[in-house]
Amino acid sequence: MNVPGIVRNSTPFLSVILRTQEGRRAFLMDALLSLAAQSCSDFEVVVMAHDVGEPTARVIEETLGEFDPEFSRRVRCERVGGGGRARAFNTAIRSVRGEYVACMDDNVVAFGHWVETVRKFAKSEPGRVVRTRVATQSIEPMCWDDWEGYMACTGVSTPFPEMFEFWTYVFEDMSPKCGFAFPRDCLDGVLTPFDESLHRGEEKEVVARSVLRNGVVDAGEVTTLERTWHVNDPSDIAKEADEWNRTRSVLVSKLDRLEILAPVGTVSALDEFRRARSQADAQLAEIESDRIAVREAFDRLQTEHDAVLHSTSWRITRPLRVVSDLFRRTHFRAR
Amino acid sequence: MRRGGEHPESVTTYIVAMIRPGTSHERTREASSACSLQVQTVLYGHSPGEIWNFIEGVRAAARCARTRGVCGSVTLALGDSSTQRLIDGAMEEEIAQSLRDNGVDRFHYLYFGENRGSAGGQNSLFRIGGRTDFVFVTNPDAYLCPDVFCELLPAFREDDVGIVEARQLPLEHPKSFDPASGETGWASGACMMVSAEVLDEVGDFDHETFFLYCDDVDFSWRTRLAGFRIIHRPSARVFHDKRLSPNGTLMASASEFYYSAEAALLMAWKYSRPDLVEKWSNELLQGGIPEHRRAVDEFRQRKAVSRLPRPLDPEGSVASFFGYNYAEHRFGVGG
Repeated sequence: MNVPGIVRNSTPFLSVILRTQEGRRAFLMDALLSLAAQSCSDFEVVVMAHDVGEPTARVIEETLGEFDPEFSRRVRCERVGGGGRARAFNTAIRSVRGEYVACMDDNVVAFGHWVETVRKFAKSEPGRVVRTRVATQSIEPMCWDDWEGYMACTGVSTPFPEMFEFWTYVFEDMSPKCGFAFPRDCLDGVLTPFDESLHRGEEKEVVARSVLRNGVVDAGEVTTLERTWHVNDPSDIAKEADEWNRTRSVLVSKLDRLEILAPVGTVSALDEFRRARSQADAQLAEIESDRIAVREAFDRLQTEHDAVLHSTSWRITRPLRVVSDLFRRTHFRAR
Repeated sequence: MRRGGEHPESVTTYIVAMIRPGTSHERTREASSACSLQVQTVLYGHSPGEIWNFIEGVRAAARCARTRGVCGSVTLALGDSSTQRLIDGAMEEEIAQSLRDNGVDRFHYLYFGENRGSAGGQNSLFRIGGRTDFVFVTNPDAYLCPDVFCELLPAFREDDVGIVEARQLPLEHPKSFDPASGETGWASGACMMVSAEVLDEVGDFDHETFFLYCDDVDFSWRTRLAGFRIIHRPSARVFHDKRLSPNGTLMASASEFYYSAEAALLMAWKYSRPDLVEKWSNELLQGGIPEHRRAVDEFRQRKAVSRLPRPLDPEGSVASFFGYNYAEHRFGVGG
């Protein structure tokens, strides 16, 4: 069979590392189905079964075996134990064969043109990190007979920046890892590209380093959808914010130890930042000066007020004010 | 074995395995190795790569259903509404060959020589190779999950279930369903399993009224008027290759604007809501979209020459209009 869109290569263009865990059968099936349905088949998939027992590993193997051989021959499953989420990706990176590597958790589904889009941009600007856009959707748990399932409870949104901007990425942008495909050479020789001490954003350092080293190309297209549990509990929201703050501090401290060749656009970004900072400083100084003036005026009035209250004339005229108050009250009641 | 006709309507049938005799006219409510299933879709200008992608999904689903014993025979029927045959003789042979070892017993390819739309095309395929216990109606840009039939068929255990719908990925349909029973207002023509009883009692899609949209909503509502229930099964999956614009909205072509507006007016008319016809016509005319204006003109022209369908469901027992939607939605499409 020789069909356009179906590419046969001993070295695939892309290696997709897909991490799953115990009790995630529903998510894993969704993710695998979206990969099987890709318009371009020039990729392999490594399913990293993280901390799963023998029965689950068997179910995963059986599930893979049910897909069409055109897909299943490009998928393999490996088991990995211990460590955080990053451990699974770091382990898989050592064994993948693709020219590019992309990583995703099993709560992600790809749109049909994900691999095709990454490939198109990697071929047009070889060696660069390819960034695609990630959409998000909230889900809530739902029982599907004997499955632990879920259903979408919000529409799809695109909360992450349209274009990659290095400093925004370092400080604010929480774009998920599935939005990046790394050229192999960015990962080769790095022992633990993903930070195993972090619970969120464990890929941020390797994204930052890879972009600094090889540059980045923005595909601009939405190619993956990340589904996350609908979170309402303030303590969960606070915990998530804490984890992101920690990721940010770790990233800043790690990047701070490097002499980095600043990415294109940095000088003007710094210039703009400096200008904005001066403007903000000037505005702040103006506000402070207004504040001092208001404070001084208030103090003056306060002093005058106190002086009147303590004056002899004010004390002498007190009975008159009492009579006058009584008269006013009686007058109003009569009306 | 092969038999075939010539343009404009040429049918090619491959019998790729022996069918169990005596099953086609027996009522087989339960998923079992005795029940027969036809999978059907209508092509329109699809590339060979897209067609093969569809075939891959079908053969894995067929093989899985046969292996697990939920289905005794599977037929694949492809209609072709394109201006030229998309599948030539060599490709037909290749498809038939590829299906042979994957649990698909019969393969029909029907080139229409004209564009029959979605409803007309699907109608031409019903019973093409005889009556089957179930028919799975789908889209050519769908990729079936291997266990999709295994998840859909058990829902027919209850006698009054007439249609069972799969969940679509990556974009879940927002229409509501009962989380406990799965009962829903209508089923999408991208992934609906219909029982033979429904086809016998309700008939086919209304291709004279609907060309591209709402044929499935209308068919679902007629099915419910006939006393059947429609069930949504989230554990049954179909990847439907929908894509998003960079701002996270669904991309729609000019013809989609036209046919969806035309179908909305026809639905309101057919389900005894002249008030909505009036209201929507005014809104569509005021919206300033040329395709919408054209849709209103076409509707009025049909009305003038009495080419509108006979109104049904005057009590509104099954028809429900929520804005321009035909069921209550759990969330907005855009977030």
